[in-house]
Amino acid sequence: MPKRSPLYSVQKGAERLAAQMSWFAAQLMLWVFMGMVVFPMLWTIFASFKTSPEIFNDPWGIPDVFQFQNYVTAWTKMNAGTYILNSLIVSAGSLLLIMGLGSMIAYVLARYDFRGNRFFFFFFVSGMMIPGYLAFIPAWFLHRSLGLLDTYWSLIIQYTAFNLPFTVFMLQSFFKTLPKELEEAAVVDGASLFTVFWKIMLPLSKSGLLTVSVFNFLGVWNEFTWVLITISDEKLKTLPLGAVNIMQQAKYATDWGAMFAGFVIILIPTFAVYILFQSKLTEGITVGALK
Amino acid sequence: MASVTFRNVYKRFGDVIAVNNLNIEVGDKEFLVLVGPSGCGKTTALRCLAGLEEISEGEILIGDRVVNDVPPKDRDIAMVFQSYALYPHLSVYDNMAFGLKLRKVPKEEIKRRVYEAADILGIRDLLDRKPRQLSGGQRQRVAVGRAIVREPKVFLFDEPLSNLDAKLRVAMRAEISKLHQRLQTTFIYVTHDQTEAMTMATRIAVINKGILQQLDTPQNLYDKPNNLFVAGFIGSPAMNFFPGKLRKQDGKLLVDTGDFAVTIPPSRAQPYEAHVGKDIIFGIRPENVHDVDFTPPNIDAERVTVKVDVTELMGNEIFLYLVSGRNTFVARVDPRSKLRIGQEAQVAFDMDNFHIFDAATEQAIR
Repeated sequence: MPKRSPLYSVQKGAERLAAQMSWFAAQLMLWVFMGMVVFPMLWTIFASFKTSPEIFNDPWGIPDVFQFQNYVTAWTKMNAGTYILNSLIVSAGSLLLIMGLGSMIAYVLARYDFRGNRFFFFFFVSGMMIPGYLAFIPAWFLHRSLGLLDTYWSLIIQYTAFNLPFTVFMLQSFFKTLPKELEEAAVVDGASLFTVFWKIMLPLSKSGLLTVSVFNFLGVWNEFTWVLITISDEKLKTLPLGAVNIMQQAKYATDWGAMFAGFVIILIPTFAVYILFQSKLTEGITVGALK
Repeated sequence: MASVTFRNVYKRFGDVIAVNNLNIEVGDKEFLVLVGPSGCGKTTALRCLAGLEEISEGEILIGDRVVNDVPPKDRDIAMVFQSYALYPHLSVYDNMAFGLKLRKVPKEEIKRRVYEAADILGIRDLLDRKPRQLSGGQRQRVAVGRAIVREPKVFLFDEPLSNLDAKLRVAMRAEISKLHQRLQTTFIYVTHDQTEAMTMATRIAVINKGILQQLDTPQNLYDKPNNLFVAGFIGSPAMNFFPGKLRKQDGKLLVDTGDFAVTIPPSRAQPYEAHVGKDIIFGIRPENVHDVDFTPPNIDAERVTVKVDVTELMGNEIFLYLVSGRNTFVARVDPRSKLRIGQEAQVAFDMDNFHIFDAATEQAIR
C-alpha cells in the first residue's frame, strides 16, 4: 500500500465537506427556485376560491369556504365558451403554419448546402433578437392596410412570423443531429426528397417537433398584447382578453375571485399539454446535447 | 445483373482529388472488392457509383447505360451502409419493404419478397421488431435484407462488417460469399480489411490516394504485386522490405542490404541485370523466411544471421520478429522452432519467392 502523507485524512475530510456543501447549496437553490415557481401558482389557485373581501383581508391564507361560484361567474362573464373556441382556432392555425413552415425551412437549412444558406439561417435567427413590442406598431399598420384587422388571420399570421425564428433555430440544430446515412439509404431505396423529409426525417424528429410545438403553443395561447390591439370584435377575442373582461365589466367593483378563477381556466390547457408531453419534452430538450 | 464500368472517373472536393482517373470494368455477376487504407477514395468511388456523389469528370456505366446524370433511385442498385442506416422508427419488415412500397410493388409481392429474404438471412422471427431491439449482427442482416428484396442489378457494400466483432465478422464474411453465389448478381464491396478482400473477392482493386494501384485476382495480387504499396498492403503479416542495392560478384547477382547479402538464383537473375548498381527494395513474405532447422527441402535457401527480438506463438505457427543490423522483419516459422528471444540465430530466405522493386518508382521489377 502506498505511503500516505499525514495530511491525507484531513485532506479527505475537507474534500468530503466540500462535496457535502456543494450538494447542500444545489439542494437549497432548487428548493428556492421551486418555491418561486410553485408559490404564485398556488396563490392564484387559492385566490380563485376566495371572495373578493377575503382576498384582501387574508391574502396568504387557505380559503375559508371554497367558492366554486367564482368559476361559474368567470365562465359566464368571460364568455369562456366563445373565447376558448377562438383561442383553439388561433392556436391550432398558428401551430400548423409555424411547424409546417418551420420544419421545412429548418430541414433545408440543416441539410442542403447552397449559396446563401448561412445568410438565410442568420436572417431567421436574427428575428429572435427583435423585441416583439417594437414591431407591433408597424405590423399593426401593415395588417390594417391588408384589411386583416379583426380577423383570425391577423393573429395567425403575426404569431407565425414571431415564432418562426425560434422554431427554425431549434429544429435546424435538431435535424443536424440526425445521421445523414438514413437519408442516403432512403434516396437509394427510391425516395424523393419530399418523401425522405416526410417519411424518414419528420418521424425521427418527433421529440424535437413536440418540444418546439409545446413552447410555441404556450406562447400563442397566452399572448395578450397583439390580440388587445388588433381584435375589437367580441366574437373573435381569445381567452387572455376574456380575463380582462371580468375586470372591465364590473368597473369599480371588480370580482377578484372570479378573475383569478378565469386565470386558472386559462392555465388548465397549458398544464394539460405540459403534463401530457412532459417526458417527451425533457427528452427533446436534452437530445441535441447528448446526441 | 449488369456490368459496371468506371471510365476515366475523377472526383474532386475542392483541391483534394479523392478519385483520380479511375478505370475499372466489373463483369456481370462478379464480386469486386475495392480495398485500400482509410481515406484512399474507395468509399467515394462507391458513392459515385450509387449516385450519392456527383463525379467531376469521366463516365460511370451500369450495363450499357451511362448513369452520370441518373438519380440514385433510377440506377437499379441497392446499398448496404457501414452504419446499416436502418430506419429506427420502422419495424424490420417495414425497413425491408420501404423501397418496394415506394416503387408501388403490389402488397402480396412485397410480402413474398420480404419473407423470402428473411428466410435466406434467418431473420424471419425478427420482422416485427424495431432496429434498436436487435443486436449488431441482426441489424447487419436486416440491412442486407433490405438490399436483397429490391432485386437490384448491382449490390453495393460499404464496409458492412466493420462494426461487428471479430468472430461475427468471419461468419458474416462467409454468408455474404454464399449470398453472392446464390443471387448471381454483381457485388461491389468496399473494405479496408485485406483479409475480407482476399477471402470474398473474385477480383480486387487496390486503391491508394485515389489512384488504382492494381486490379487482379486475389492470388495474383498476392503472388505478383505490381508495386511496393500493393505488396505491403496485401498479406498479413505484411511483406518484409529491405532497402539495398543490386551488385554483381563473381558472375553472381547479389542483393546487398548493407547488413547482409543474398544471392539471386541464376534462373531468376535475368530481369534484374539492367538494375545492377541501382537502389532497389528487396521484399520477402514472412512465410518465405524459415528457421534453418525446418527449411523445406528443394528450395533455394540463403542464410541470414539475425537476433530474435520477439516471438509470438500462434499455435499452428510462430511469428518471429527478427533484427539484422538496421533491419527488423518478421518470419512465420514452423511451430516446432526452438528459437527464443535474445538468441543469435540463422534463418533461411526462400529465394524462389522474393520481390524486387525499383526504389525510385516503387514499381516491381520483373
